[in-house]
Amino acid sequence: MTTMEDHISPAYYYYVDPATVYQPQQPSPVDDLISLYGLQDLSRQVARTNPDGTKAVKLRKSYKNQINDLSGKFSVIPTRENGKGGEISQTLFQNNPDMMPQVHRTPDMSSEQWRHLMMDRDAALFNGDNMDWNMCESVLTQFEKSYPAEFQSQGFQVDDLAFDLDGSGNAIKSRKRKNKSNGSSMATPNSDMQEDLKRRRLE
Amino acid sequence: MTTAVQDFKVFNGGGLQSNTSQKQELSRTSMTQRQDNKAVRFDPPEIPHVEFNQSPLSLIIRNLTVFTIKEIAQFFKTSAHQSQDAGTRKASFLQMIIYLRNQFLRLYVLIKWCKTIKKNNFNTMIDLLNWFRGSNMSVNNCIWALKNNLVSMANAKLPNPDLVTALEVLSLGRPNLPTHNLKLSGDEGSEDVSVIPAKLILKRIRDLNTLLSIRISLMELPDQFYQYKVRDGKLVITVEKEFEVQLSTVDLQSPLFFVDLKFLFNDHLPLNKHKLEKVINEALFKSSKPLFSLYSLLHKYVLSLQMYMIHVELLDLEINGKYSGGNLVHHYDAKKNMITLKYWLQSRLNGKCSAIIGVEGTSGNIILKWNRNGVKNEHSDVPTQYSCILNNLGNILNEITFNHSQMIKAELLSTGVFSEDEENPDFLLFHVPTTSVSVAPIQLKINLISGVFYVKNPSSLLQFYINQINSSSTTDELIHILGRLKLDKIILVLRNMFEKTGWSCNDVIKLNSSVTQDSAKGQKRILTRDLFIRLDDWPANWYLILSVVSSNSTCVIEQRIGKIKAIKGNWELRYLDSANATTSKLESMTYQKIVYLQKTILHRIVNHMIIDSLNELNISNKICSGDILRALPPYVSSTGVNNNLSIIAIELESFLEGSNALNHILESSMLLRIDYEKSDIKLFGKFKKDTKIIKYQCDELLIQFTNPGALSFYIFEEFTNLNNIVLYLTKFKQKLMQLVVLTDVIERLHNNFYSENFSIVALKPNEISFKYLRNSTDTHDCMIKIVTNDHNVENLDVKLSSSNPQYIVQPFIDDGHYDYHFIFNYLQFTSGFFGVLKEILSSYEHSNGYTTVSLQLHNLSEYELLYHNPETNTKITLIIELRNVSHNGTKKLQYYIHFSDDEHISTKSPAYPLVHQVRNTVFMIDNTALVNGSSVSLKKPKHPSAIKLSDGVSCDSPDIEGIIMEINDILKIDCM
Repeated sequence: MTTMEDHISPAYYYYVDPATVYQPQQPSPVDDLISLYGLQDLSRQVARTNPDGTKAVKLRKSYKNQINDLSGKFSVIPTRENGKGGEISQTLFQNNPDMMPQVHRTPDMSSEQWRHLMMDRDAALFNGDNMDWNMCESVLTQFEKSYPAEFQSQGFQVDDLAFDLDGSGNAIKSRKRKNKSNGSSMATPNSDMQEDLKRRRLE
Repeated sequence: MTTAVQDFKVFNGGGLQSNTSQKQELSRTSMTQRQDNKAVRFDPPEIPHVEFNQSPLSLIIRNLTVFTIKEIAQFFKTSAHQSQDAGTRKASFLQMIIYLRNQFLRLYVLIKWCKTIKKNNFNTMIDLLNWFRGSNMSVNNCIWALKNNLVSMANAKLPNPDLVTALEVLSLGRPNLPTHNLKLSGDEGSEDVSVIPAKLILKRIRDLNTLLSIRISLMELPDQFYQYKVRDGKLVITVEKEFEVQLSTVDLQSPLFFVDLKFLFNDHLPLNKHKLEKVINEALFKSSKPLFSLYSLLHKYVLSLQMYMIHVELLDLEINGKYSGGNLVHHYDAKKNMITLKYWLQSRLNGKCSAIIGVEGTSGNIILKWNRNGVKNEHSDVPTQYSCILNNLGNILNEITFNHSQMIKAELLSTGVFSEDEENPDFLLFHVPTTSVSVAPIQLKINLISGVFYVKNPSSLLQFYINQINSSSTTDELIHILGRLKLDKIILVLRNMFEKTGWSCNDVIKLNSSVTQDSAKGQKRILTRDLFIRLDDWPANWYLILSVVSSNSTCVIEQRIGKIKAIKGNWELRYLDSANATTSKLESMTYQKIVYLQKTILHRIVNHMIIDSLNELNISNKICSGDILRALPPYVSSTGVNNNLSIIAIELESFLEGSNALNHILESSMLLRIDYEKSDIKLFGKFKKDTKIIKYQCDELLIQFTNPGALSFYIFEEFTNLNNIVLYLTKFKQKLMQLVVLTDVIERLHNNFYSENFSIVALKPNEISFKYLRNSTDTHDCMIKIVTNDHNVENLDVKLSSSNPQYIVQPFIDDGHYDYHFIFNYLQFTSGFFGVLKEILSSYEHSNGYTTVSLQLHNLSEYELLYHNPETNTKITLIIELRNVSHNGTKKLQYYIHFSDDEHISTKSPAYPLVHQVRNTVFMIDNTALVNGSSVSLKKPKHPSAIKLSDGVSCDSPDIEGIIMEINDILKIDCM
């Protein structure tokens, strides 16, 4: 009976256990977490705008922009969507037996020994049992001279090679140069970036 | 310190700490940790570092390299043994290479991205991300926990939450219950507060009255507020005709406040007193001179309200009232607080009739100002400004329109065109002729509502002009229109008069300019119009032109005669008798005059028409009238001069178009007399001297001599249609031309045929028959037909009578184209010769001898007389020639008679004796006579002109007959 009583009406009126005390979260989200954790430097580096309101670092240069300084001519950016990028992290990271370093450190191994072992752990990949260089040569010799039209039936676009065949350089680069042609020929990385910003803003 | 620990725990998932003893224990246990925890208290809990699922870059590069090498090796292994063609293999190789390269590319980009942050401490970012994710998750957990609470509490029965009370409690610290109010107001101790004792109220009101009296006497008041009362604890201020406002206050310090407001000009206005209270209280509170600002506020409000009411009143007048139908319009400018109104919109003064309602600057009252644009200043006594407009607008408008109409009337009366109706001063009278002698007044009135002129029972013509008057813009124009109305009426009257007496008016004719040359023509207010009337039997194109010159007071009618023709679509005045224009007043136009004019005007028309025709023909002419008539020669005026007679002098030479052929025959001037009574036309002329032609009467020439033997004559024609009068003139001219020719021919005939045998048998205008032969038994010996062209004698056609002995030469005359002088001379010269020949020939026809005679004509100057005796077969040819002989220096035509040289008559021929005899007797000079000269010479020679030439004889015309007869007497004997 008492248990029933206890169950139905507790000693306290509201459904709040007076014995339970809650403490506010620390750190409070309303605090300045950046200064609290000393992240000002980092914040400044990644800030989108300078304190005076001008545009600052462009944190995320586009992929295309990042590969711009390569000699290749990427007219098509390889992405997962167009099938030219592809996801291989599963292959590269953990638990792939192929990726396991096939070396084990025994307690008796000196650091120097271990370091050498680590350095040479993949040398076997280039040995004959893995890589038959003669066969490679014979296969490569079978590749005769190619013509761009040759690959069309196989669904291969020559553009994907990103070879600068006509010497015009990267499409974006060439455009930049054209823009700069009347100005200074000294293209500093900074000015490159600003140019890029301007361009993007216009777009 | 405890909090610090708790903080840490909360951060790590908000754990519930129910066990306080444990907490205390924990705090107590580690004194050494205290220092650290103290530091933690100021430094926030560390952001947990995350390393899970992260690999070093070197490892990733290594792994990718391994993968790449393995892939390449795999490719070579498989392709070495597959039998795919090279292209496919190449493509798949390339695809693999590109794929692998792209993986390195990604890595490259990734590294570059990471380099955006210096020192490569990208880890911090990862840690932060992780921490944010964690925090986010704990908040989400709370939300979910709450939601779960709600679901689990579904069974808990609670009343609807009293949010209002809850908020009161939240803000006040207690619920705001009604009982609290009384407690708060400070009436301590009394439970029965709802009933205030009447005594207290009255006292309070009295106090207030005193208070207000003191207050108001201490305040500055605007003039309008001096009418105030203090009663019932209120200050009641009345501004007459505007408002009554009630104010009150609480004590000496607090400002006056609004109690009530009433408008005195309209009781039924709905008032938004709440809003007014707010505005008035604000004005009273804020202003340093509260009553002044209150007055200006209320006064402005009243003015705007009244303006609006006037606007409504005007709207009512315009739409439903007596000005409905667009006679009144107004524009209410609420911003400027002004109304412009225009009345008489449909009148001729549209735009000039306006008034403005607005607030006068000096008095601050609403007034109406009447704009009297275009009204002369002389009406200065007429009020232009009205106050007390509200509810009085109809009366004001009535007054304005009445005054305006009076001013228009006065202005029109001042022009002198109108006269005032004595019976009814509202009417203006305008006199318009109804007949030539009587006038009728037209009653013109202004409609006060529309401002439009109107007349009673207007005719259509009048209505037309009233419409024009109502569209005229100036007074001058109005007067001008009335002048046109009058002119129209006069024209109507005149037309009526003329048409009733048989005249006809031509409405079609439009001349470029009026025919009247009156100097007043160009003047204002004088109108002219031409009326073209004629009688039906008048010559075409001729009109009596009535120029009506009308002014306000009088009307003058000028009569002229003119000829108007339509040439190439334009009416042209071809002839105008300006000299004889008669001018008369309209009043003098009577039916008698018109009828008389009808009778008498015709000859003037005809005169003008003849003059016009004569002018057109370039014939110099002059109409004879007055003194000239008396100076006329008696043969013209013998019949006496009367009104139905007109005489025009014509110059002969120009009449005959410059021909001077008659100049030496006729007097230089001729006279044309037209008698309208007898309908005849006579052209009188006079010969200069007695000529042969006067002796002969030629009926067809129509030339009548006034007296037998007189030199004057006339040509006469009866006319039926005056239109053709020119035809008569041309006919006369033709006759005169014929007269010229005839006179000429007859003179020549007389000159050529000078013998006593000559006589003219018959005379026709183009034919002359005459006799010239001796012993002629014929009716005429010769007839001359005169062939003329228009101006000259072209040819004389000479026809000899068939019984004429000279008839034989007719073919030669016909063919020869001889000069008729020559022909006449020839005929006269040879008349005797041919006479004797005819005698000889006829005598042979009746004789019974053998010898025959025949006449041969070689030409007009050589004849051959052949005696032929068939018995003896002898021929004797006698040749007669006409020769021009020079005799004593003058040329002379002579006959030369000789035998033919061609035939030789031998001495043996039986005819020889005859020939010989002729030679001896006729051709040879009589020697015996010479011998016995005395005897012979005493004797007169038989043929005085004969010259004997041995083989022939020559002689003049008178002797030819004798010589021929002599020869014939010899030769007619038959030779044996």
